[in-house]
Amino acid sequence: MELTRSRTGLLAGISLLAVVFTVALTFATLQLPVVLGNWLSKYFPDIHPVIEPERVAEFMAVARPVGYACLAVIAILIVAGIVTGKRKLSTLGSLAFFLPTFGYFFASMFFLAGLGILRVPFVPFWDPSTNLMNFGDISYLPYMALVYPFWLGGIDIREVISWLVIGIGLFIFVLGTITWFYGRLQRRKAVDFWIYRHSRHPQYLGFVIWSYGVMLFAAQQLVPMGGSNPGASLLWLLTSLVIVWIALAEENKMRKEDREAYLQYRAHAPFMFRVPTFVSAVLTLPIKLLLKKSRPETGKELVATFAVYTTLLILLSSPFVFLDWPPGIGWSDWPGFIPGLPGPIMNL
Amino acid sequence: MSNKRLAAILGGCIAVIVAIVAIAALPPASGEPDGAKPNENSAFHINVIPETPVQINGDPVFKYSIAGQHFVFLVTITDEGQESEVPVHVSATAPGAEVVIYCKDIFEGEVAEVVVIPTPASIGATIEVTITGTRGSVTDEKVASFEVAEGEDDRQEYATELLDKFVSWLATNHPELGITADTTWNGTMVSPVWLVVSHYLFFSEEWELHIEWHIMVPPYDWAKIDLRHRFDELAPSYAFEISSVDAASEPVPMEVPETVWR
Repeated sequence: MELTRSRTGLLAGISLLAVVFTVALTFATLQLPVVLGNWLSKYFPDIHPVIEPERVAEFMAVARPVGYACLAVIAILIVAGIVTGKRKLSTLGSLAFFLPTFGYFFASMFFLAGLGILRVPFVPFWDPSTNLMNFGDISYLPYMALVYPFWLGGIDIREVISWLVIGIGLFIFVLGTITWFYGRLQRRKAVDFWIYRHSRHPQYLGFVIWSYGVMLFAAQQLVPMGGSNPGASLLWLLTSLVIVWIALAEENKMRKEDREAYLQYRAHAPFMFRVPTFVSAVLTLPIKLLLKKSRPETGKELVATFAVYTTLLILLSSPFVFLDWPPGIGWSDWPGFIPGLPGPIMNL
Repeated sequence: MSNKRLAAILGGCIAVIVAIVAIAALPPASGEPDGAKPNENSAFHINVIPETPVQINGDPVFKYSIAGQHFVFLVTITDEGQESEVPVHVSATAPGAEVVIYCKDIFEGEVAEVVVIPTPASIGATIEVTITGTRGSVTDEKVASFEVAEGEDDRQEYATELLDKFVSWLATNHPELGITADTTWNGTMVSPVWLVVSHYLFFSEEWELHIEWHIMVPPYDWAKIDLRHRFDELAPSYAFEISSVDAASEPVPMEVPETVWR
């Protein structure tokens, strides 16, 4: 009885700690870019592309090779981590790949001004003639499914959804981290309790959800001077696929180290989160067709799985690119405003 | 999994991605033969707004400015033949005034701004502005003139007060315009000889905002704005009105004027 009571208290305390951290980190997610952006704008001031095209050209002459070099370093980090098995390198690379998304939080005429300078690795993708950045737009499907019915009812939940998703992601991440540390303190061989009973990779899951919220928030930012906001869906998609790859590689390592314990844990806890059997069957269908089994187990199978899923998701995103959808200024005002009215959708 | 199979899968995936990106990157069919050189000498003519002076009953009627005022001319071009891939370079001279040009190289559909600022020495004189467009060996020229009256900018304070009212409302109700409390505006007085209705122009990097207000007792103390998107619009595209400033009425959309105010 005493043990149960102390365990309940501990759980309540940890949950409260997770909530406090979540609120603080959500606030930091949205406020740090503003502070950092204002500071960086002293060093990378805004340039009006129409008034001063020469200055833009001059800046791009330097920024372009820097952007390509940054992208090359990030790619090397990810690949090196996978090849050498040092997954921290891949994690660092995928974080660096996603970091430029924060550049969207700074409104400027020139896309590399202020915090926008973080987007310098995006330069190779930033070609308005090909919409490369939109080749991950299939990621907006859950967002569209949530936002549209409310919009039809006159309620705008776009910003609220982004905040919620960021908060949920951080809550799962913090809970996973606290649980993992607690397990280490208890000197447990495997952390398989609390949130780890509901997800085998709560920290990765938290990161993927948090970054989805950040990506949505970035897509909603309005761009001055009639510019367009291509969003960061491709970056989120690739980053998330790398994270899933790393998680699968970790599981393969665990399986090799203690097959019995791993299989027992896997039987009770889902990979990321529990989904209906039908959804799971659809999601894993390409692996089953490709490998004739339900999951990749070797390095080569992982590479093949990553390549096939990346290609499939890009293919599924291509209608957005070819149809140039959403029309107008893109995701930043989808589903749209009615001109002349305070807005077709109420601000919550 | 054999190396051969992995290579085949990777090759297939890369081929699919390259094909999709290549299709997306293909330029739309324009009917223009491949490798055609842009015509550097294709004919065009330039258009300048506002027209000043205008002829009324056979007499020239000039617009007025004061020393230090920014008199902003909008310049566009019209290609006489096929649309050229070479922009027209806009230049201008105005003895007795300083000239600043924004968006010097324009294609059809784009708008350059020629800003003419009379010096104090030109008070009482007529400023003649010559605006020239050049593409290769082809040039076109337009001349406009306005008079410089004596006077000073005594409207800025109230104009800014009204601007703030409209901007805070626009930021909340029309976020799609990208106007926020942080938007920087540069103002200039216009129409110095108009008295009952005062006018003022504000320019942000993106918008030209014309504000006018009725110097009258409530409830006839209205204030109106119209907004033109700089560099791609010749006329306003939005307009809003406060029916009575004293009564703190909320801005409401109004009919958009057909021309810019100068």
